[in-house]
Amino acid sequence: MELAIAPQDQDILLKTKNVINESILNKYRLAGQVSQTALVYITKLINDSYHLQQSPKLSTAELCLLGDSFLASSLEDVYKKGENSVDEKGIAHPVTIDVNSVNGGFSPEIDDDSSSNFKFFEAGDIVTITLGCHVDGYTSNLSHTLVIYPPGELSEGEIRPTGPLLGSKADAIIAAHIANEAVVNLLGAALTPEKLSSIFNGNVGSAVTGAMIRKVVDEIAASFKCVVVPGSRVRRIRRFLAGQSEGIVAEKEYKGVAWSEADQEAALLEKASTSKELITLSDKTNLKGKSINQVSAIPTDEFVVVPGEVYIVDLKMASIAEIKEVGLVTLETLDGYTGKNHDKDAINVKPSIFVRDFAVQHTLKLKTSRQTLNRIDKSRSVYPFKLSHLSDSFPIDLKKLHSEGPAALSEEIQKVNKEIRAARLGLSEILNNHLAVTRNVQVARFLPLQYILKTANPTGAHGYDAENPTLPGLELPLPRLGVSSLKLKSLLKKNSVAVPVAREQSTVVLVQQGISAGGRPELLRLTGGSKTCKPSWVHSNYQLDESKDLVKSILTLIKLGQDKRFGINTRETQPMKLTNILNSGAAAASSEDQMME
Amino acid sequence: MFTCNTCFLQFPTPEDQRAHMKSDWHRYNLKRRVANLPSINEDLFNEKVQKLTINEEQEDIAEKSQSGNNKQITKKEQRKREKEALLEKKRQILEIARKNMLKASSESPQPEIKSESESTTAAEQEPTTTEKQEEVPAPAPAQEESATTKITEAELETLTDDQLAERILAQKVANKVEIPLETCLFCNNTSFPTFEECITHMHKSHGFFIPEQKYLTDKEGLVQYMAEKIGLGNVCIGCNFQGRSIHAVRAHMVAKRHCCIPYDSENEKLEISEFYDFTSTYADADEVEGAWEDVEGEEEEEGDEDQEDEVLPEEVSYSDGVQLHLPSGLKIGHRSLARYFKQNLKPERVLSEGQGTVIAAESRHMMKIADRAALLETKRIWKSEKTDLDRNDRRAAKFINNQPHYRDQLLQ
Repeated sequence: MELAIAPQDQDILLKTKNVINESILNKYRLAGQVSQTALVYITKLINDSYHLQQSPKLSTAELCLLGDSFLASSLEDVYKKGENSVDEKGIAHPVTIDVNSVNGGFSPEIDDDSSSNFKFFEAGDIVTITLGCHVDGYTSNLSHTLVIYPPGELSEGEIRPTGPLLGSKADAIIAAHIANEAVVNLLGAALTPEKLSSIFNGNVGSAVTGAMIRKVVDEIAASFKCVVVPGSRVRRIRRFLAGQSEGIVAEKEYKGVAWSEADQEAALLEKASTSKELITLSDKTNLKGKSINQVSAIPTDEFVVVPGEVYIVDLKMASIAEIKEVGLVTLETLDGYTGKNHDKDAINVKPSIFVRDFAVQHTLKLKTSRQTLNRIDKSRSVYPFKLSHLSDSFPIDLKKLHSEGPAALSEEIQKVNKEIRAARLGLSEILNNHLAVTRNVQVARFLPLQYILKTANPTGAHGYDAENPTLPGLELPLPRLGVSSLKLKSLLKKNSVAVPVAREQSTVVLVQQGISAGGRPELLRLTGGSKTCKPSWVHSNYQLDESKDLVKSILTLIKLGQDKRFGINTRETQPMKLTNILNSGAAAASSEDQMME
Repeated sequence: MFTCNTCFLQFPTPEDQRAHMKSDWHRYNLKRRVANLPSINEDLFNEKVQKLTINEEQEDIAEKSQSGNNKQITKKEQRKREKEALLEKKRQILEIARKNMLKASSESPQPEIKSESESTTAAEQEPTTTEKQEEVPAPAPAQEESATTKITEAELETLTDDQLAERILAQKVANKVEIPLETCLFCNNTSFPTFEECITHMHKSHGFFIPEQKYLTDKEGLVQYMAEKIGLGNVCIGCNFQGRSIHAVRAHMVAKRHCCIPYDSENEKLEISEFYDFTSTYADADEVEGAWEDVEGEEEEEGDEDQEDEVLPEEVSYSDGVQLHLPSGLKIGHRSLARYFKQNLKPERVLSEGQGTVIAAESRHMMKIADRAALLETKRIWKSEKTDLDRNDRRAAKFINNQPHYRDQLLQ
């Protein structure tokens, strides 16, 4: 690698800057607050245009643009001047709105007319909003799944949905919500490990490990006939390393649980066979030909959660209750090249989110490309970006917009639209030379196992899919059956069915003793929580089976989380009041008008 | 009957005839016949042969004493030998000079030996006055000179180094031709009434140009020196070619247009520097010598500028060997470093904290600089693959027509 950081600088960047103190905690808190508020804002927009029908329907692209503008403009004026000013702050994850089976990355650009799919939501859709922001690299990410209800009826002075959502979508939502809460509380239990034995009846050691987290999540998923979708993870994040470039950067000292197809494969094989030989994978084969550096980049479950760390709990659930076959859930990348597909049922979307890869160096030929790259490097730090973020008229003025109404929106959109075009020209060269990597739009699909078992696999395990980079060590999706990612991709085309995905993501800081107010160790929940990410009204046919030991422990865990006094000391970041943010400008303008008169 | 028509003989048997045909006599007569000469009888032939063999034997002996080779020596070979002999002589002189030098340095410095060694080292190029003085009281070796030409190596070895050097020098001095100042250096004995006229003649007809006449202080001395170089040393003034005689050297110089004093390299300048006086130019030496180029004046000296102004001339503040620092703050780089100033380097990449963190956490192995050769090799392979593909396409295009009933428009 041509670029290298001196060891002492590495120490500062990776270690010293991640030691939690009051100022860092404040930055985290602010980032969390902005993320929470943005979720409230987007939820309000969706409610207004779909449930309450107070405003014209907003398309996905418009919602994404508004959400991004909200994030960017909220962070514009903070940590701006003085000795506390920070160079890098802003959007850590562009607002993506994934509908039903879309697994992630769906955030259409305003000029993208090819994606007629998911332009507007239908009643009965489940919609996952994912967003994130960072202040000086301290990141808070958030995902929450909403339900779009049919027009409600008026009761008690409020319009309410007529009934809960039922079916597999509901199962997924509930599983994701409960799993998320359980894991957050489990992480919180790491602050007070003496409580662990009471939770798990002394069955486990005195520390929270990756294996424990996996066990809890898998148990909850199984109770609701769900599958943890590949790409879900519970991972430690560090400053500027919030998992935004997973698959691109092989991050040193990766700490976290990552779910992949291999886990589902292991579970299926366990059910089918009595011998353990096939199921246990020797670690040696996995680590062959890897240096020590790379070994630390390969995710394993053998880690211990330590106070003072920050974690992202990002769990995606897909229900397979309605499918009568045995199989596994995997991800299919939507065709991103042409935007056209001969398959009439296929979803056509252009990918719109890109991540810069700093390790690659290349001198671009086109002037426009160089300008675009400059803009990206200056304004977008190391986080994923959309082309609309690079335009001059971004972020659009939300205060003006909300005081003037929908006419102003189309005007602003026109402006952004014009500037995207030049950036798009420059971007193609950047992408061709791998200076930036596309984040593809993916769809979760269920593939029956019989097709995998029947397939011929002449190329062996060597067909890595370069388009969808994975975490190091997980390049082979089905290591036990020896099916490569390319083979799996080709199988998906005809034999699979799409399954809806629910996703809950929250960011938590495990604050050690003596830092937060009161001196007690504290679980600071930056995003999510019962107030902001309240689950929609859904109803599942399944429930947690209380006769199982593990389920009992999970229930105690959740109860402990709710017990303020003797349980886990949790604090949630609350969103700011929307009216204060959006109407202050308008109020100021009107008062100025009065002054003029 | 068996006859020989060339020698007019008759033989009774064919065997006799055949034996005759193979004899030298018959062959000689055949050659004479070809040359339209009458054939000779056997007695005459034998006589001739006898005479020739005596001659040859004599020559053989003479040759063997010289080289031991009984082949006839060609002119070319002869010249080569002479050259080798000359080189050998030179080598000996140099060897002696070297030994003397070593002796002089190891022993206490003795003026006599020193002068001698000096004179021997510079024997061919710089016959100085001391040399002459030495040779005047010793005219005797001049007589030996003819003998020395035939001295064999064995004899040389018996002599001591000093004696040898003396002998060679004496030989040189004996051959010396004095060229007066009024005589042209290059023509044979063309003299002029005055020295100046001689100089103009040499300039006009031979191109004898005296460099830097402005600073020349001893013109006669310079010409005298050149005359000695030609007359005594038999050396070309242009290329230091060593002639065998003054005539040879003159012919060489005229033919090769070597009638000028070389004045390019530092050594050539030093050789004749004693006739010049450059002291008047020392004041602005920096200007003459320096070949300075402008470098961007980025750094500006602050406080010490004023001080420099007082001490140094206005144009130059100070030079640190590589750069001239001007009072204006400009820095002027030397021409010898121009290739470095001309470099168009990429500005160093400044990473933001975020970028630095990501790079620091990176554990992928990127292509290293060491792999550049391998990269080039792969690129070359790709290129050749592409060429092959293109060629195949072009060839395939000839047979692109697959219609069963195709009729060529041109063949209608």
